Amino acid sequence: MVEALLSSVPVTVEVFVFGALVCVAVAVLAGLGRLSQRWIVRTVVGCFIEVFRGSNVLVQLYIAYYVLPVWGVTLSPFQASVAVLGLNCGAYGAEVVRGAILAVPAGQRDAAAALDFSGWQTLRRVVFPQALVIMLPSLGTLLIDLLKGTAIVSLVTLVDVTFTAQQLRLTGESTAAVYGLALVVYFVLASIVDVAVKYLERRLGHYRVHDATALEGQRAIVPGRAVGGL
Amino acid sequence: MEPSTPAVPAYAIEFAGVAKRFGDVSVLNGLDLQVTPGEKVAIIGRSGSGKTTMLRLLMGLERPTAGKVLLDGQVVWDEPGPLDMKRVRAAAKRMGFVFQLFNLFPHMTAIENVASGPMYAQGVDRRTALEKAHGLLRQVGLEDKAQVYPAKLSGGQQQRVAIARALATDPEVLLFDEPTSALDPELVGEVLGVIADLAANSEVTMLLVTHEMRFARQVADRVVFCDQGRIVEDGDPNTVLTNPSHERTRAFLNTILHPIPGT
Amino acid sequence: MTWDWDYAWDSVPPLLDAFKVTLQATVLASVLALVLGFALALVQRVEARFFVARIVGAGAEFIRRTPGLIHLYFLFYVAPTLGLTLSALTAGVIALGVHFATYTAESYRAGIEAVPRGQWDAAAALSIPRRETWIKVILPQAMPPILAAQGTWVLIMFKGTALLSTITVVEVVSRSQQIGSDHLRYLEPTVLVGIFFLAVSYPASVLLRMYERRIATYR
Repeated sequence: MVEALLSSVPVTVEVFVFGALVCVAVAVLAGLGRLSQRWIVRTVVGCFIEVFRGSNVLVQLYIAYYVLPVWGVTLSPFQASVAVLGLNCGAYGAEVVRGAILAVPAGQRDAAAALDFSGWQTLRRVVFPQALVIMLPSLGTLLIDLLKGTAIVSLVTLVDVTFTAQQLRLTGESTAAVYGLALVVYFVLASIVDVAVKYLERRLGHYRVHDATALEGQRAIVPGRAVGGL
Repeated sequence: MEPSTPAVPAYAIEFAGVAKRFGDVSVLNGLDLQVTPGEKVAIIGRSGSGKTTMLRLLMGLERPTAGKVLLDGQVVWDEPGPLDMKRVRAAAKRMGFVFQLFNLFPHMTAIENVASGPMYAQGVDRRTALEKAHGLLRQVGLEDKAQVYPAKLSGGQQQRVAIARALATDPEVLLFDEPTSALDPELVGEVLGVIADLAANSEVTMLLVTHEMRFARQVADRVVFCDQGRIVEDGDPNTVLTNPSHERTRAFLNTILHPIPGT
Repeated sequence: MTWDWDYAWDSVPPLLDAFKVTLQATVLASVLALVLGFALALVQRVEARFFVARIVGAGAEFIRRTPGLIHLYFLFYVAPTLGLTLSALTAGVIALGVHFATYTAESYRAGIEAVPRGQWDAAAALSIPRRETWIKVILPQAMPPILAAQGTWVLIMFKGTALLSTITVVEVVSRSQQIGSDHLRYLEPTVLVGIFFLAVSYPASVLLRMYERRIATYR
């Protein structure tokens, strides 16, 4: 039983890793898009964010897997899962990125302008490095939610940890043991993500004086920054 | 035939009829000021009198509602008119700005802060930029703090790094926006010392918004008093600070020199 | 394949019917999450130095780091083996409520801690008793942001009820898939369900944001 469950961990990890890549890319692009000077960009990106946050991820997955094929777009379960989880997570992440960029004090932009940085230089050298440190705690919560969210890919036939647990239950294993073990697996994976993000926070935020306390203070769990907590 | 006027602009900086409103609040009301090259001008006045806004307009951090701003005879702003960020940026390139709250980049060390302008705005290679930054840090007496992050520096040290950073791009004009008003009293001296040194030993045109009257007298060639968005008084430091002609200037100096009535 | 309006229209009444179950589950789970979350926050605050609080805190963290879907399965499939048979809806509401209680607890806590330390000091300096400090000083400042945060959790739970479809609760997502398999046509019911969720979530989140903006101007 343990072996069977563990052998499905790579599937969960793969969906998570690719989903996280899509998520971060979408979050940064959409976060910047929300702050664009062009109303058309703001509006389009805003619609994307509201649609993905407003409807629910399971329905989105069903649409990607069952409905898109009738429109000629056939995605494998893996592709559908990565796309939906990544876009959903990215829609939440966009607000995190936007908030973090706005949280960088205006004086920083003034100073960059006074030194004649270009818009891109200001973003790359001044705003983004600081915004990254500000957004990391929320990003960590978001990624853990993404990891938990991968459980639903079992519903479109991907043989991940959750799917395997279901199978094991049907083969007559003790249900408590099967699900208990699955929970432990997810807990360990989530803890790895947590440790990795905290390590990054320390590495990238080393320039702040009160490192630990400042970051802990920001680790408030703010809803709306979570994929859905499930 | 009359000789034609020389093409060399007489003024390093010129404000002509500049107005600035933030919503309903009028900050500048037809401000006029001319500064000749190399001059060190101190700008004094109550808070909210538009002093800081003058500097921010010049630097292109704000856009005036009306009027002209010129740098070295070249138009920076000519409002109302089409927005031309190119000339605003071109002007900004020639100026340095020292902020009240320093605005150092917290994620860069002191020396990286100083080198950031040359490196990221002027395309100077990293080694050259760092070498130059080193020299500037020495000039402000902070050579030993080169590798320290701003959070570990005192306010006075941060402001000195910020001054070095403003100097790094070789500006023709330096703007100081109340450079000591965010500092603890015991740290003011070191920053004023650096600025005084700079004023005495360089040809750079300087505009200083300040609340330090003694310092203004010591460093500036000229003092202007700004009130309700206009220049009310303009002259050499001694005249303006000891024998002002305008009633409002006198009232202002009185409150500054004798903050508690009856003393 | 194009959109079939007749089919879509015929799907609406059964979907609306099932939507009632979705709303019912949302309300029940929300009440549980808000009450249990408050208790959790209280235990962790009041008993902060004691062993119990540590255990409760660790348990909450464990729940936050594991998928709600498995909590659902756990409760639904494991409880009967312990002689405790729950209806699918009950199991779902409990799983969802407990899962989110660990989040609402954090929001209660964060809301209280967001009140500056100086407020407690000022109250102490004025010799305001502890009880009055809570009621007159701290809670009035802490409550609006807490309400806004909990509102967002309720919205997230609303969307989370879709998971109940996996343990045989016939809520709106489950109903849409039934309709789809009955007619071998998933397009319309699935998209309709997406629109249902959006139609409730979006206006609600706009209202929440308006509320957040209003309370932000007080500061």
